[in-house]
Amino acid sequence: MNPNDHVAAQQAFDQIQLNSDGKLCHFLTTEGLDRATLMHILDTAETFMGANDQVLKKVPLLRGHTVANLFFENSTRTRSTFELAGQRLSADILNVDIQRSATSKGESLRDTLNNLQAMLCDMFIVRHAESGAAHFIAQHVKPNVTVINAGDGSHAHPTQAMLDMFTIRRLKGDFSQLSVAIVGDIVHSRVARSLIHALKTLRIPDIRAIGPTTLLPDEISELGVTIYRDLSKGLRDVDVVIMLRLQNERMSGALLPSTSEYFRHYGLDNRRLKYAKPDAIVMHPGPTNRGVEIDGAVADGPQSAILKQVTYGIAIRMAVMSITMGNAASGENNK
Amino acid sequence: MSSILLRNGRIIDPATGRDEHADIAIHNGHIATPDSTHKYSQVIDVTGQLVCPGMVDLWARPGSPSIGHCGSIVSETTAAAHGGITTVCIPPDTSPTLDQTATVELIRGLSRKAGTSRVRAYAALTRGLEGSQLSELQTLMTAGCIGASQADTPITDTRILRRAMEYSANFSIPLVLQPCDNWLRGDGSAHEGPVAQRLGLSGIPSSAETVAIAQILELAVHTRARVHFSRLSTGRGVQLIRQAKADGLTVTADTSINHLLLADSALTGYNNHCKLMPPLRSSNDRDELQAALLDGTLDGICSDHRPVSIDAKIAPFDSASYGASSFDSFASQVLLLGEMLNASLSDCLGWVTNRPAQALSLPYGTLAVGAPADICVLNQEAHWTLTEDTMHSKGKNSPWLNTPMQGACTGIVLRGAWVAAPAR
Repeated sequence: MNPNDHVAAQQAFDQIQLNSDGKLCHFLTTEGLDRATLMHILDTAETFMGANDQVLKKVPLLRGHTVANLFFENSTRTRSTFELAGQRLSADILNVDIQRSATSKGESLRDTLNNLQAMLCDMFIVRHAESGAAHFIAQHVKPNVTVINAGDGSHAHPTQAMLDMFTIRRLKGDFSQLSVAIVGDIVHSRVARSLIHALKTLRIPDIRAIGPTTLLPDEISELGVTIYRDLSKGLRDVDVVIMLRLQNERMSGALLPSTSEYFRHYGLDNRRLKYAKPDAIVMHPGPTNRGVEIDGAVADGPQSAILKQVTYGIAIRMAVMSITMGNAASGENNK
Repeated sequence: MSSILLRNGRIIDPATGRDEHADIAIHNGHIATPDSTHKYSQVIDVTGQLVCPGMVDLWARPGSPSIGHCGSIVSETTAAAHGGITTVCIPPDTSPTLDQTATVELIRGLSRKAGTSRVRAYAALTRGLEGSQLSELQTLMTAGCIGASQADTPITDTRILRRAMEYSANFSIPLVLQPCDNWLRGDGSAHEGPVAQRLGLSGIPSSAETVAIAQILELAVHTRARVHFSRLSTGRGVQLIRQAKADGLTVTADTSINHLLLADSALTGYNNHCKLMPPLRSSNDRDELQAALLDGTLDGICSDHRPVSIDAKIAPFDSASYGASSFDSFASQVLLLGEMLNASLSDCLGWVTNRPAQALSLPYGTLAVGAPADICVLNQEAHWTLTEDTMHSKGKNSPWLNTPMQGACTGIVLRGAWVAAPAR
């Protein structure tokens, strides 16, 4: 393929997570998926919801299958929810302790993968520090093995984006009239990127990104968002506010002077929340830094959907795992 | 010594403006006037082909023992020779670093013995390329180096850079510098722009190059050092060079063939074969580099050949090695570029022969009578495909794998001998 043909390259890239029937056989990114595919994930997650906003305890969809958690980057929360999701689907779960494995001894990712595949896993849930790692792994696994991206570098965190969309749909209903604001450290955020792709595909008409230039450079607008530098202006009349976590590392490297100055200008408190619609919901991928990006009163307040996100995350991950496993078995994976 | 006659080719010598169908003779390794009474030891029919000076490549790596043991001086200079490149200029980041005369002699000896392309070397400007102590530059130049360079590890201490430039100016040693501000470069792996943003890759801003160019230019005025800017990647960067030349400064500059043909959009889908240093930049930057070539701001095109083992490219983008293997595709792509830009064949071949040679005052790149006979014969009508099998380099890391190529070198004359290139 001519390297100048970036349109073809993007198409080939988008095809990696689809089988020969065009169905999802890996879940790597929300980018390049059509509306029907994303809606199918949301609708499937809905079937796993029982009474009282609880997730069903047990379904046999993945019985007899082995799911391996490959977390090259530390995470207790995401790993736990994937484990819970796998258990509720009746799968066998293998937690691979990558930190203390051969990788730290210099083994290449490719070799680690080949060794793991010898253990006959059907599905890998992968989190990795490098952007593009999930696609790389998907291109190197055996046919009929499924890869779910639990976060790769700054590139994508598609299950987080989908649970956010599920939360929005459950609490707000119709996507077509909504105004959604994403606030904070967008340039380093895989959650933000996956969210923006999903919001666009699901046709949310007003997508806003709010933050200082050091965390939100102008060229992010090319992803399809309107940039605001002032939190109050950016929140005016929005229906959904999604706050991103500010990592401590941002203070070194001179991206920000201090968390308190950040909170003064970009932190969400009840006063600023009033600029949004009165029934606006507040979301956060977690873990929250109280007093840094969000005030405790807002995180615990009546407009907060943060805890619901955690619950819905289990249903979404069950949906994604069952859909991709089903499609990996039927069609042929694209290589 | 032998004598050779190349018969009936189209001779293009950009240095003299010659473009005509004629014979060309080689006596004792030098260009001579054809003599119809003389019995030549070898007569080679080059009807229908281009006969031009052997190409002069101002920046290429002859194999990389440190990157997956890919290629050697012998394998890579053979690939260069088969590609029509008769002079390969190598950076000092060899193993060991080119800061000792013994190392220089070793490398040149290896290439002479192998009978492949001529190797010239840039001395390490500082010992170990560490940026703090000067190498014995004058001694290294006497041993045969053609200039001094820091390869890809720029001097960050401006006081040391000033002293290095002053010292080099004292001995009229050309400095070949890739302008890059280390702090702005950071841990970036791609051009800071919308493509890197979408891929979630840490970016290197254009200002990393332009800040360094401005700094070096100011110091060049101050020290009167002679500077050649190596492998520019930004439009703003060539603007600065254009202005410097207009102001009368003795500066020259080049860029790599891939920077003239590709932009950062080629990274789409995490294409590791397009991971280069300096990174491929925006299409605007590429267009400005092309314009700078046409108006003479850029003095030549180098290959920036960097062979790496296949394993070194099979990894997520940040872990993958940078660099492209470009000897095998070089001639074909230079001709393609010339056609794309509507340049005359003479101008186009000038970009890789007399212009780069002149930039560093090298005695190559011309077919004038009496000059060393470095000659390249090109078949413009050769159609072939770049594949792992048709590449002679041990490095198969090319962005252009499985791309059709037009034009190939059929042979070179070097050191008084005709060396035919295997058919692709």
